[in-house]
Amino acid sequence: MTVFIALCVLLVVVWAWWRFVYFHRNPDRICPPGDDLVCPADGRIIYSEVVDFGAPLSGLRPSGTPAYFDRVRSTWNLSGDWSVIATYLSIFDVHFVRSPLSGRVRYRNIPVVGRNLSMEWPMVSAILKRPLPLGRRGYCDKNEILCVSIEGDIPVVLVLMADWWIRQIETFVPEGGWIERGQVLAHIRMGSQVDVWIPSERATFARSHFDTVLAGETILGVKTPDPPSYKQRIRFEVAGVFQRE
Amino acid sequence: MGVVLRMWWLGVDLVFFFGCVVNMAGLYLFRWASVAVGRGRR
Repeated sequence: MTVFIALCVLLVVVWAWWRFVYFHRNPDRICPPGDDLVCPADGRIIYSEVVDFGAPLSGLRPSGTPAYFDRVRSTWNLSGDWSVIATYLSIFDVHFVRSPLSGRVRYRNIPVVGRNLSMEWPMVSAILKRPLPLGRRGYCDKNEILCVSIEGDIPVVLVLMADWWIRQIETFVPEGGWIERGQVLAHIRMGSQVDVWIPSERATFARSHFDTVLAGETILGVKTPDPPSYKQRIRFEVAGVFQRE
Repeated sequence: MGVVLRMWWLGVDLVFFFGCVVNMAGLYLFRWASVAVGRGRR
């Protein structure tokens, strides 16, 4: 009996340490130089895909859930091709979310549809390193999400998702405020998943499925260089950079 | 009422934490076994 009680006390102490100390750690991160996008969250990539917001979302598509895509699209009136990459945060990962680039921040809270669903399947996918089945992504359609738009060199949309037992996503930058690349944006209390949306023409993701990433340190994506202007092109042609037809 | 609710959620956290730990341990064991028999991703 004494051993049982001692074991229970030990477990409660371990839980309390995790719950009140370890979970809320916010280690310093060294942001790599340059202006490539950095990862917003610690965890593992569970899916990455390209979505055509110009096409009807109700149609058949190879992957992704139309309801979730429509929530994101209608929130920020997105159009054209956008790429999305999802990072799953386990209960042992740092839950401070950092900005992938410098820019102006805007928030939209999308309320829950019905009730929040459990996010056990992303955890299974992340640990087993197996693709997350389409039928197991219902939480994207229903759970409460915080949609964050960051207007920098390129527009980026972050989606902070909450598991059913999440009670708060705390933000540190006011609506319309400026955030630096790698700066802490929010703290998900006991969470879950962070999706990054970028316009496919403006940047390309440098990470793929099941990569383990660190917020503010791992390069997530690379911006597409702007096409040369007319004057630059003329200069290149004079310099013989471009072959004449 | 606020204290009761807070205690309730702390209880949920406690149960969920150990549920997650056991679940994760089982999944890592499964992955290790899958890799051992040549059917999983390392």
